[in-house]
Amino acid sequence: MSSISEQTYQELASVILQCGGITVSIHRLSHRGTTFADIGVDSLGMLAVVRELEHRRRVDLGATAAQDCRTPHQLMSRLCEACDGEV
Amino acid sequence: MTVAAVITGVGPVAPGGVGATEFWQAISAGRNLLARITRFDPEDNPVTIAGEVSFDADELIEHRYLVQTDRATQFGLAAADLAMADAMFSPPALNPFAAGVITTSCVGGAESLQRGLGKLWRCGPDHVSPYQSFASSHAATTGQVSIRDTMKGPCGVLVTDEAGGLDTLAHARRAIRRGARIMIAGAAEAPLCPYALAPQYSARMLSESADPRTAYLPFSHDARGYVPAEGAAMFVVESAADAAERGSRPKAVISGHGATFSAVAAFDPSGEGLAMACRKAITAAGCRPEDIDVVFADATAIPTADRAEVTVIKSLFGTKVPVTAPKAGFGRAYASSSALDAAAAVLSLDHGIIPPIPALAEPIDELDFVVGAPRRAELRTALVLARGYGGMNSALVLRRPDH
Amino acid sequence: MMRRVVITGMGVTAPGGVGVSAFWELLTAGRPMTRLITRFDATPFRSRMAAECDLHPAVHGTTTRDTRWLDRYLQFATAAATEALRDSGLNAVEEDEWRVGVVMGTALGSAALLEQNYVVMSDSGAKWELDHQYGSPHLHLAWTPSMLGAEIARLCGARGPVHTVSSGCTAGIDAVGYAAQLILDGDADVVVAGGAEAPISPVTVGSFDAIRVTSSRNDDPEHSCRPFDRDRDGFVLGEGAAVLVLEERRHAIRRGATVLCEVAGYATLSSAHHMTGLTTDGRVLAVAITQVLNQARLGPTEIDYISANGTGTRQNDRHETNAVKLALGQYAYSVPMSSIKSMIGHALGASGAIELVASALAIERGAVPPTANLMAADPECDLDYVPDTAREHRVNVALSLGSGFGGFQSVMALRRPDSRGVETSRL
Repeated sequence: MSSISEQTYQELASVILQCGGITVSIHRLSHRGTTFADIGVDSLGMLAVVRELEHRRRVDLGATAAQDCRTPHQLMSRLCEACDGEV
Repeated sequence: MTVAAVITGVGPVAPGGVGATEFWQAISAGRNLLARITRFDPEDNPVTIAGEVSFDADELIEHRYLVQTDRATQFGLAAADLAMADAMFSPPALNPFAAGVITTSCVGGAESLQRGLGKLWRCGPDHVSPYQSFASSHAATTGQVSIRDTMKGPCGVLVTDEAGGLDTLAHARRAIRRGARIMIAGAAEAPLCPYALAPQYSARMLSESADPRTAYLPFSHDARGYVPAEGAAMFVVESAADAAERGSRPKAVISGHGATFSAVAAFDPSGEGLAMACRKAITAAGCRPEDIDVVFADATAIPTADRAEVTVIKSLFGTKVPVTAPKAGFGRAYASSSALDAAAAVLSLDHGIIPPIPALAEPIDELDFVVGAPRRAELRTALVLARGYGGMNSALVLRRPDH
Repeated sequence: MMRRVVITGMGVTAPGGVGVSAFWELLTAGRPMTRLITRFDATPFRSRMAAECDLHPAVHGTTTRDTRWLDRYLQFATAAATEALRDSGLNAVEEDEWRVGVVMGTALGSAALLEQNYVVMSDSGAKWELDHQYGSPHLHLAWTPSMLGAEIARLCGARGPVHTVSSGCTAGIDAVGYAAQLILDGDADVVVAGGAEAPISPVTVGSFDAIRVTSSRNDDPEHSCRPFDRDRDGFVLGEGAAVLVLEERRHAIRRGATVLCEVAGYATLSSAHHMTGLTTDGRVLAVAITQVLNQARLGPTEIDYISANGTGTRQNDRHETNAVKLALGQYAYSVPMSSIKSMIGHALGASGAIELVASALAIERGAVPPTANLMAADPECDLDYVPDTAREHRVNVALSLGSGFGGFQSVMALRRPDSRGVETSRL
């Protein structure tokens, strides 16, 4: 699995702001221990974030991505896989 | 012994004024705030003039609520904030189960629904937002206010057309009488989008005039229907004892309410239902018609409906009672129109000043219309009237607390 | 003297048939009516099932005007109200019209009819500014849900308070609760109350798809709605209406009406937690149950039947189970509790009213309807859900529970009428 670039987290931060109305720093987002719950993204917010990422990248993250990915790191890894590592 | 329910906070969000101070300045000056619609391009619409709220949602609404709410709910959230600040109440309540929310609207989150429909039909099911299922719901405003302000008590959502603003205040009083300590009650409406306006054109009730100065002229020979508007008004309602205990000054007492139905759709020309609602409200308030010091009229500017209202007022109160309709300056905001009228009446009682109808050159009858300039008066009791498009009538008696 | 509220007439339109008899027959047979959607082509959607009504409007009191201009939910409501009024024996001409009210609940109103018109006016979503001249010339009859109250009021000649309640999925129960309050407070002597919904349209299906709250068991529609089952995967949409005639007790006695049951208590609270999510502990719903028991002066062990909200979503059924345990303690395990949504789906704002009719029938007929499709219980849902078949059971007090988006938790208690001066049964 390739490492996840800062630029990707930047994009995630902007999606979280757009879909969840939550401002979060790249630093916090890219920390492995941070969960979406910590940031304040709830189950609906997760569905919105996943959907927006899928539309932006034109990928399918799987039906249960919003439930499965508890941390930004997990979600970004899944995105990375779905994009064949080209994130 | 029934518990007296009092209004301790008023939160209007209206064209021309967000908050009680701005709203009062706008209506007491009798300013005309109607203008060409800017929310969408009204070029091919029969209706091009409306009352729009100048509103910085970014500034007033926390972002996490902003992304999942319709403009109507945003008005409601802001209005609830303003009302609570006015009542010097900061949530959460000591006992969240004794604090409740009751709201009303005609079209709910119509703009969000139009956006969702557009995404679904243009792009497909995968593009429907996860917030869609509730953002456009009529229940969204009550839900979001109760969540944001941790109010777990009696809640409710009424749809009674333009009468809704008055009916929610009566409903809040029911909750207080059943033991709730504090209620947020009122209306929120954002109907200035194509999806909410288009279905109304076939009813031919809206003013099709393109001139903001003459588009909405209730009780005038030139009346040609009403101008639609958006906005909200929320109130803090408490028992008199609780307000006293909190040291919050009651601004008005919810004294009497009457609701009736006119089986004739769209503003019964006989006015029979409206008259009965008035009689019920006055009887419930334990007063007589001559005790009413000012009438806030429904003022649809539909000629038959104006005529009916004038007849009702004349037959019950004669021609001496001052009659006003500040909404002629900013439009008829559906369920919020009666809530904003109630807000105007509360402020009017508080200031001892009747806000005017901005312009009325040749009235259709010889009532004592307050026109052009505010009028100072000894006001103890105000009557607010509202009629719904579907046939609902509502009348509310408000009193100055010391009377 | 204290005013009391009784129910003297009922009508229902539900999947499986129009009328109380057909409805009760369906419930006691435990037959699920869920099927693949026929109202529109649901192929692109994740959940493609619903419990649909096969209504022939003309047979049930609706006029040509109704069928041409009015949304389906108003036709359901008209059929149910016609039956309820007939059942109550109420003669509108003999009533003081200003003392007769109407309170009806709906979540979506004419949403389906509006969507059809939207598609035409927007050129399938292409335009934001709509070509209004392509809309139905009677679209103004659809634009707000308050038309529901108005239609029913015209039908029964009511001129008192006529209100529509739109609190989402609890609207049906809330409408009946509000109607009872109007009578208790002396604002009316008779209130015709209930709920109606016809939500099976693309935008509604799409918006529930987006949050994955509906079942996607499209290969087995009949067994798709499985409240309290280990393998449940969401609710299935339904449609229909139910109408009840509520009266002040002495008013009912005076005119010699048959009293079916009494409204003993009602509460609606907000969990103030999340627009769609529920807390696992069910605390707010438990508080609502306790408030209702206090109003009705009943102890937990006096409840004989619970009509569950029982949607069949992962969250709801655990939330509800825990709420009942919290409110009733150990007795929770002894009281039968079932979800008729397992058979007729979730008709949103009509559900509460339809379930109240089921509760009233349980009192009247001495049997409780089952929960269909309960094959293997979720270990966390361990109460007596009356699986598969109806059970003979004397019910003096029934509790009906509702829970919906916005966090609303509503509860109503119905009680067998006492016999002092009242005909207690029409069996």
